[in-house]
Amino acid sequence: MCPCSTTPTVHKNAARRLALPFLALLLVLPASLAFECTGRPVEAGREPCFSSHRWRAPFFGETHTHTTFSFDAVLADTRATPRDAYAFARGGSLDLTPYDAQGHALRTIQLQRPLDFAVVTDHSEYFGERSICLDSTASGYNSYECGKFRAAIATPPGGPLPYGFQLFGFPLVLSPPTRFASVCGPTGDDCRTRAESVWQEIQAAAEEAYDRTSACTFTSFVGYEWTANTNFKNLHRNVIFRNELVPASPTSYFEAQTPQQLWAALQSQCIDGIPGCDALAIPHNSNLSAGVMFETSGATAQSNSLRAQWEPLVEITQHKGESECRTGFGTNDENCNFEKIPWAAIGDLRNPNQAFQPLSFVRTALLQGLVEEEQTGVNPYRFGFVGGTDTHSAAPGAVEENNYPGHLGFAESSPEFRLTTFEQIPGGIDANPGGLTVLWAEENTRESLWRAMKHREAYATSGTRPVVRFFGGYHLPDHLCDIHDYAALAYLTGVPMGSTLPDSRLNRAPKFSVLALQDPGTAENPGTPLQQVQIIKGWTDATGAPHEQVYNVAGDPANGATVDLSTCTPQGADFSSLCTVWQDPDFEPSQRAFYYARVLENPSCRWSTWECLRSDITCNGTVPSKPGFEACCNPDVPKTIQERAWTSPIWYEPHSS
Amino acid sequence: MDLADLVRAPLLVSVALRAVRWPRKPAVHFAAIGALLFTLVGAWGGPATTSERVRKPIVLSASQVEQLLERYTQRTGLRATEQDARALVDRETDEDVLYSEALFRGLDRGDRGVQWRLIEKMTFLSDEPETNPRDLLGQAVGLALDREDQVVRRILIEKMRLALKHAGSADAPDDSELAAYLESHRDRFVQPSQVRISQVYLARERHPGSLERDAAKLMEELRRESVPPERAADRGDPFPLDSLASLVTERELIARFGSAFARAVAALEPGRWSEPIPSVFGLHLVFVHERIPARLPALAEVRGRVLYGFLAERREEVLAKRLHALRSEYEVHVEWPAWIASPSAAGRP
Repeated sequence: MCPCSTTPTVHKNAARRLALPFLALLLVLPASLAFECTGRPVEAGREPCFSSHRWRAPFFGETHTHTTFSFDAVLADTRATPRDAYAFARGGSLDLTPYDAQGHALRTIQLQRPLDFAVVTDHSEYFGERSICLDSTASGYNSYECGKFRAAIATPPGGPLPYGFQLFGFPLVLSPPTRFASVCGPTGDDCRTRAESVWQEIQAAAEEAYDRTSACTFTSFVGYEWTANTNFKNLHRNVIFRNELVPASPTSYFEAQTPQQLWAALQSQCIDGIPGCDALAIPHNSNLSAGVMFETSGATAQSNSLRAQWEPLVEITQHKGESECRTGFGTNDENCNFEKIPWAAIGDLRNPNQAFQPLSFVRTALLQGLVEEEQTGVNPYRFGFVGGTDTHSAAPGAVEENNYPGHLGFAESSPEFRLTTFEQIPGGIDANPGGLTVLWAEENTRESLWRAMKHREAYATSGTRPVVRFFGGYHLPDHLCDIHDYAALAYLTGVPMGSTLPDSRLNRAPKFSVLALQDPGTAENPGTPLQQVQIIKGWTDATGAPHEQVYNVAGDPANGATVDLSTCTPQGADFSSLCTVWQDPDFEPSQRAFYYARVLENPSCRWSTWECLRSDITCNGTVPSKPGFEACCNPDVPKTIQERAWTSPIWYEPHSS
Repeated sequence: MDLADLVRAPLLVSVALRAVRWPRKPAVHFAAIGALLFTLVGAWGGPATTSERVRKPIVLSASQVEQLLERYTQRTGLRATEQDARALVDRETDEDVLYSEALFRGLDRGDRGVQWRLIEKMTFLSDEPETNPRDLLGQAVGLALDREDQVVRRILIEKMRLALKHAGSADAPDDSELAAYLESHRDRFVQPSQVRISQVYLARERHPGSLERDAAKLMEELRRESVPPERAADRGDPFPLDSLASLVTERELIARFGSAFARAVAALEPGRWSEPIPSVFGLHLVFVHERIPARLPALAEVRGRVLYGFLAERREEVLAKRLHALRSEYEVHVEWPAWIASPSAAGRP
């Protein structure tokens, strides 16, 4: 084992001296990858990057994209492939629904700022079925299910879900599910064989997009989404592989019905099956899990450490709502009131009897993790944070509020469709453009970004691009914000986001530093200045009961900033950057705790407000000037939001004597 | 009588039989005749279904065109424009050509998909449950169930498409082809230009009321004293990202400081301290050390990416080219609805 530190101990000459023996070692190692103890990863099959950032740089991307290879995306008439999605992430133009009779897209979109990395995560369920149902030469093409499937393509939103959608959705709530024999053949082999070739195409698209030259302009990862909706509770995970060494077929809900079965499959097929293969799983939309995502009843030290091993990250925000916390459910933090989806489970929508569960939210899970650690000795929920879009239009990173193309293909392809109240799946007016993931890494390569993900040196944003640093330590200098080598000194005297504070007998309160730079934006779409920085602390008391506290540590929550709703121009006092060193005033050495930072921007227009503005809607009471735009005049729809960033936490553990 | 005539015979017989409106249990009679013919054909090992012998003209009647437009409206909720109508007709014609060509080339012969479909259809029609699949197939052919069958049609169209896509194009491209592809897709492979800069930064919040004045003064000092640019940062306020320590691309500058800042840096003379450049964070004095121009990597550096892109695009190109060539083999007649001005003869040459 390589005793690698998570701190960059950088001696470039030493790194170069080490490189040769390491390359020699690679020849005898079965793995294609190795990791130098100097912190700079060595990756086979690629050139070293021109520029490497000694104290790490923020790389912006996202980990959640669906293309036409996902059954529900194709039902929304999304035609773009993984190849198109990656081309879009890299700055190319993407075709969007609707399509005219010539097969030409009536809309296109392009990112003003391309992404540094992206992961296509199509639903691994139905890779084969989808392919068969759309291929008239396949023997299952004429099955009843495929007929219904094709008939459901491009249904407008607002009404009940088309039967074909329900038909394919239903097996994913059953445990165990069965494949359609009429589509897949009696043994299911037809679907499995097809799925393998779809999976190969996904890998090829990732390979084509990955910049292996020294320019290091873009990184792709091979991935998929495992889509468990057992009893209508969302247990979805995105599976991401470290490199191009991946199993021959993805694991779907048909093979694994619980997260534990998914991890077991990854263990046997990836870790044990292929030298050099590695993977992680990212849970998402705990907000739609009715509390099941983070349920821990009957957990043991062993089951908790498995979870911690496979799931270092959690997706805290996306199209179908933010999952940090919900005001009134385990917390009274008012800033939790942000992009909430008004239902508690994915397929049991707007059911008044379906109460929101505190354990549907990430902050509660972090607290529950501390409780578990007290009880079993292992914290299963040591999560870092990522954000994504969950786009079903193959548009990774299309997160701008004033240029939101919709996520669900045809069903969100017009302003009226996007402003619709969806009844049976989350979307429309309740949805939002989704977020981004920022990884602190030396360079833009798979190995370097993988390290950031595994070590949680990651933060999520609600879609904008502020730069946020977060360090904790006992020796952080108080004047850290006033010196020129902030990052160098912070790494030397503290640990970055995602880490655990080193064991200490000092009985002294740890210090934390947050540094936030506003998103500079672009000429067409200027960034919004910052309003404030908060640190959220969670801890367990002597009886083992969880508590939380929100501290305002920088900026001004009462700066009075507003938005001119007739133009969506932000107004009022602002900060272009905020930096502070803060010491916990309520520290108690015997109590387990976590700390994470939340950076809030000044208020800005929500996407729906932009839509109403662009369509020139005026309101007479709650009646809009154009039919189809009722949401514009609905007082329950928020006009503004505060875009934000959430850093991964830093944990404190009492000194183990 | 050659093989193709034999193939056509069942069709003629079945048409004739249908014309006289056989009184009772027609399926049985058809089946008997069909089976006989099937056995005959089978004895030659010839086609199970009805291939074409000549390339017959493609005809789209006015009602077929109307049907296309209606289906489009049903699916999209939109009324087809004239342009839409032409595209729909064009696509339909393509499919007719593919279908006819598939029959002409005998792609239906021995096709398991087609046979399976016909057997399934005949099983439904036949009132003798015990008939074996081979007989059922013969009966179906006897009844010409394969003609006008949408499923068979789709199977053959796709088969023909695949045949056009893949025939003769399986060779791996050589390096000159890949190099040409790389050159013609520069945008996707070009490595961006980079610039090495040093900066002195003045934070907006730290110079209330005097930001411009302080920056101008500092610029004078830097230009006058020969401070090594790498060590000049201390003269200003700390900028807490080290991401400018090495080479940066324009994209990185946009990401950190905004597009106006990046444009200003792009216009700077190397080797000299700039005028103060504004960003949302304050003012920046920038010294450009060197610029590395954008370059197209050598094929060897990006071979894998080029090869994948090349193959993906070639398949579609080959299909389009061959389909175009194939269409010229067919005479096409389209009866346009009155509201569409009749275009030059048949939609497309």
